Amino acid sequence: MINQEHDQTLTPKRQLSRFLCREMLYDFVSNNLDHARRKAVDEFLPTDFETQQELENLREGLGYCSRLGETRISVPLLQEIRDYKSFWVRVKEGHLWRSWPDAVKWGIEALVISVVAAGVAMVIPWKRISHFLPKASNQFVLVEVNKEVKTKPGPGDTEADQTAIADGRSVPPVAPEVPDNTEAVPPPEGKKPTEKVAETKPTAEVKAPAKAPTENATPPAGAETSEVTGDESSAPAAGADRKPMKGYVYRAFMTVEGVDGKTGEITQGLQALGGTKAGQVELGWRKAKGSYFHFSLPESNYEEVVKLLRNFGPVRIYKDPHWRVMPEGKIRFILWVEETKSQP
Amino acid sequence: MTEEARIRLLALFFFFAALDERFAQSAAIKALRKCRQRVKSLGNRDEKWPAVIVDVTNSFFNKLKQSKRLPAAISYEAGWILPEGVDLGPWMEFQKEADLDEFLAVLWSRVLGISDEAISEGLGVSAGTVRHRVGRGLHILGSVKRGDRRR
Repeated sequence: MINQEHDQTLTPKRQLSRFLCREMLYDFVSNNLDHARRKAVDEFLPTDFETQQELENLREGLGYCSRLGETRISVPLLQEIRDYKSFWVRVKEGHLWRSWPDAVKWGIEALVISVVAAGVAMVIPWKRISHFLPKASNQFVLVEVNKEVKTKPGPGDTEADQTAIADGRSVPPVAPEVPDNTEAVPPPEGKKPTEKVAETKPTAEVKAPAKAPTENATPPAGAETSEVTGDESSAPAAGADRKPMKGYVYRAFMTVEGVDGKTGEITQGLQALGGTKAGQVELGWRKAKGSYFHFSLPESNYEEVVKLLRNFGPVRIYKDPHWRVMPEGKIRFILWVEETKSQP
Repeated sequence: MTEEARIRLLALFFFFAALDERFAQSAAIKALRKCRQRVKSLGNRDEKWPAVIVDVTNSFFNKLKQSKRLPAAISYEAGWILPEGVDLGPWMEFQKEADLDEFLAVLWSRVLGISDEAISEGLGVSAGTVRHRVGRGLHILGSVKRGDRRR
């Protein structure tokens, strides 16, 4: 109080400027000015209309703000803001899962199970654990085809041939078309041939075919084999075919002119050399394209038979392994004589 | 300061700053989470809440201004209960006329009732600066309210 009186006595009284008064108006309104400045503002205000208007604006603004400050927030909104949980929090707590429809839940479960199962199936080392799993046959029969070949068995066909046909196995021809330089088969039991069978091809050498045809072989061009008679029914089963065959059969092929006329001569010649029919048909059985001879004869007459046949034309002879073993000193022949094809 | 008072401050700030209830609600939720983290980092001191609220809401509102997501029209629902007879027209006009610092200073100080010291602490400016901004803002708001806009 003493200081205040001292200031008033020592310093001359200064009037506030409009700028200073404006700057202090907010503090004046909000009661933050000290006594002296408050008194100065109080003294200045009646003298300046613009400052009075600004003071009114301030008071108006304060009143408006105090009204806005009375705005309230509803309790539900307050709780919603307070208790809000983020998406991941709701996922963790399972709120979202419980609120989803059942179809979506089941779909997601199925999807997850499928993905897990696929992942496990890909991760498991199946090759390593396959040894511990029960093995099942890995051969599956997709289609079973039974091919029935309608072939009328000839009277000379062996039972094995007929069985082969019935089984659907193909019967390859015994004697494919052999080149002219084919050699004749050497005589049996170490008897060396003294002359070549095919005189028309003197350069030909004698040797056995590299791969003997099987017992199911048949003469070419419709000729039917008939190697056995009734006792041929004891032909071994298919499994026995694979065993090495000890017997032999000689297969001979000829092409002559005038088969009809020469069939009888050949038959007589063979019979003269001790040849007897071995199949069910007579020697010289006539077929559409030729004559069929299935006979056995003494082994010692082999060369004589070759000479005989050579008189009628070139002859090709093959020695085929056969399951049937002939008696000692006997050999078996299957001869097919065909008409020479006329040149066009 | 109670939890309800904090939520009210945040909700009212974003409501009067953005004038959009949906945005105010979601922004208040995010700001509340941010404030909790900030106060927790400051040692859970209750007296820090006003300054933290000012800081967090200031940064949120600046991001809002940058993203230009301010709504063009007012939108409020039953969750916000304004005093009877209060017109938000002058407030919207004030938002357009005043500088952002003055607008926010008035909002924090005179609408939300946060002390000038807390505002200055939250903004990192002096208390005198805050009072100056509030005085200028109130002058603009009053003139808008009275229909005598003169700066």
